[in-house]
Amino acid sequence: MMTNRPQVESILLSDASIGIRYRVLQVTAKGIIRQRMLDMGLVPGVRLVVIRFAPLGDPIEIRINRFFMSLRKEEAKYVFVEAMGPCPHRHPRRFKRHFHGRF
Amino acid sequence: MADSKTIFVALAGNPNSGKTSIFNCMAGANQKVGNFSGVTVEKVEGTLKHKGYTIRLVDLPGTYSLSPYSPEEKVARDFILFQKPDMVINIVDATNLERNLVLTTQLMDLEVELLVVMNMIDEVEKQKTHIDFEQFERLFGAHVIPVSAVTKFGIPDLLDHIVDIKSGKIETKKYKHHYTEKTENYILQLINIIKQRDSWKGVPTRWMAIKLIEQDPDVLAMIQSSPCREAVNEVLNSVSEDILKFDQMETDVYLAEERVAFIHGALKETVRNAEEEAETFTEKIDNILLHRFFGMPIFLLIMYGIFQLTFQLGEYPMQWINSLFQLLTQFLDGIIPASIAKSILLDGIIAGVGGVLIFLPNILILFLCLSLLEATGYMARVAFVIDKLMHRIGLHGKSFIPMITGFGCTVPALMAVRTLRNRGDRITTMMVVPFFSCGAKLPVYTLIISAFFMPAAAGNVLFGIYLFGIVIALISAKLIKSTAFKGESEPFVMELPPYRKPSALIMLKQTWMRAMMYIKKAGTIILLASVILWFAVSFPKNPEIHNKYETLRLQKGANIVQLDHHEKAEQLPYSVAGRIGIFLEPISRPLGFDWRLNIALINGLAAKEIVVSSMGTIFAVGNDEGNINSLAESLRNDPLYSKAVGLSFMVFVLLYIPCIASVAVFSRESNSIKWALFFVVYSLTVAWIFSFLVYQTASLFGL
Ligand SMILES: Nc1nc2c(ncn2[C@@H]2O[C@H](COP(=O)(O)OP(=O)(O)O)[C@@H](O)[C@H]2O)c(=O)[nH]1
Repeated sequence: MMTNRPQVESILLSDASIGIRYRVLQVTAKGIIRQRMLDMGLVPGVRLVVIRFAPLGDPIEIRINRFFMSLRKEEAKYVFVEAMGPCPHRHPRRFKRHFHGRF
Repeated sequence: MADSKTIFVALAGNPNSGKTSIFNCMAGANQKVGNFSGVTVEKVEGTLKHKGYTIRLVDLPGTYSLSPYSPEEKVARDFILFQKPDMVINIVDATNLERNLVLTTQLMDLEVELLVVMNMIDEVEKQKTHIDFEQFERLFGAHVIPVSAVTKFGIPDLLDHIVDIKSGKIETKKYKHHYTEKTENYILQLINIIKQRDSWKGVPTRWMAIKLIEQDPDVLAMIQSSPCREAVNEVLNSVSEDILKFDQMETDVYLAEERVAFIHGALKETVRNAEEEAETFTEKIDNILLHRFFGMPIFLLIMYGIFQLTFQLGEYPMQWINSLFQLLTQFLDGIIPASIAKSILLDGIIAGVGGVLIFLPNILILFLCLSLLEATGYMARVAFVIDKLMHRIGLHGKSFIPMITGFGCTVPALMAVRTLRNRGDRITTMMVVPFFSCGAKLPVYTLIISAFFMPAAAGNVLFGIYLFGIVIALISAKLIKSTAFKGESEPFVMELPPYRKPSALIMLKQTWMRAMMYIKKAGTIILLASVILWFAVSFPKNPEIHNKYETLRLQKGANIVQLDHHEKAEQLPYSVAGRIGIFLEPISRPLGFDWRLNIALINGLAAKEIVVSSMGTIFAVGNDEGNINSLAESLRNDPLYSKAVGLSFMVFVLLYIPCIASVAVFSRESNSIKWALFFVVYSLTVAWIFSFLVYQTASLFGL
């Protein structure tokens, strides 16, 4: 049912970088993952910041308003976001070379 | 039930909203823990009196929504729909309204008497956030009561409100949450169709209509058997088409977005926040605790700390309990004349009670630690840090704690599994926990190693055994998860709650209640099993042997203690346990075990601690602790035994049923006799197969 991919430049949340603000465009997850996302307010239009990756590189921590949540990269693949520029309170540089390796 | 002086109240709210704390403020000590019928979801009930009314509180499980995807959410929703509480108190974390209010809007859809409690108001004040409660009440149509479970601010006000609503002194407006005009139109159409057909057991039709638009499987199922099915489906098709065409979304996303947008708008009108995006206190702590280099070492250190605390610190009270029971036994031994009843009491019942209580220190300490992790907020981080590895075997990061706890004792480890939300994860984790070699198995390994191996090799053999257990556990987890619970993976979409100062009182209370639950349920079974086992080992006796030893004992200068040992050993093959041991020889032969080792293993069912001492009895060296060397000696010199037998025996001890207590707890925690039986069969099968392989291979190499 993923018709009409939005026109703006969208990337997957799993490919997002730390310290950048994003706006959610689309949630394509199914079943319980989808429900959890909607319940937590991860819906189109919402703004989020990627805070960090877990020490081993997988789950991701994001911030929506004053609320912190985590999700696995494979789950973040179901969320399309668009970049909104750097987040003023964070330092994207510091995290740039974060650990992406396999473990 | 529905008498006018009793108020039936359900507490609903997100996890970490402070539900437990508020429940405790309200109900105090008057609470009772149980399960919601048919599911292993904890149900806490309490009662209190206020202004002549009796308030009956039921704490619903903490949930983010009322969707039917997890047992907790289903329980909460069915409870509100079908038990029809007089009112629902929705506890929200006022420092995080944006997310907490999603559940509130869903409760509004249910058209219940709703009372919104804004908890953590102390933190709100500290953050210099301003909330306009009056405007909030106007928008949500529910009374809002600011409360702090920590300072107790607002609790009396909350109780007054509950009574006032019941007595009709104040009226809740029961606002409906209004969706966009388009959505409302469809909702109306659906209501008109379904309300003609059925009373739907009192389930509000507006809620049903909303859920139908969201394609909720449960409500769709309700409709499927009704004649209005066609008409409903027709409307649903046009909603989906409409929303997909104009908004490029599926209907459930659309409604979720509407809710979030409503909340966002409402909060703009009511809340003035300090800086929105500044790094929070929690974030700063996490910069260290979840640091990309130090996060892992810190995590391991914390896990190590808990482990040491539980099993090292727990060692002392365990010894006290042990000594206490020894003293009791000695004392009773002195005053009761010899008889079968005495033997049952001392060796059966008292030993059994001791066997139950001996786990208590471990359980108490471990659960206190777990409560601490949970209440501070670090528990979610544990899962966050280790999830990548756990996910490899199909499990969730939260399975990690029960697993490592298994190295200490299987019983508390199985009980720790209740922190997992997904049933598949729970059962899978419980199935593999016993393969993490528990502390009680160590003396067995030590004995066997000292009997058959060079001291230099001891460390390696021991390490190999532990490692082998872990490997079997991981493979089993993967296997069970990808067959029995295929595709049932628990998502990691979850909150990382803010760090908070925990309340010692609540932690102690929770720990105590869990410990009591263990004693009540597991205790009776362990006790029963110990008595049965005692009978099996002691009876029947062979009178000829008995007479022979009676004569020997009467001789001058007879060593009574030694004669007792020898009699016990000689009587063993005639006892039920001995006969079973002999009977089992055909299937234990391929593993290298004769009937004597079989008896030791049967004894090990009561507890692994007993294996070594029962071998002391079997090999007639007595079962005191000083006799390990002579026991090792007898094993080494026995022509039937060899290195291969030793290896095979250790593998079997590692893998077979840890103890009856663990089976009892397994059955309790899984709420399924079937799975408990499978657990028994599985561990026995795995143990047999690997012991067989080890013995046969080792024999080939002439060990
Ligand atoms: N500052 C503050 N902390 C609170 C308040 N209520 C609860 N907490 C803390 O928040 C955490 C979660 O509370 P708990 O009652 O376990 O939440 P539950 O998961 O909803 O049952 C605990 O550490 C509590 O001590 C409150 O009013 N103010």
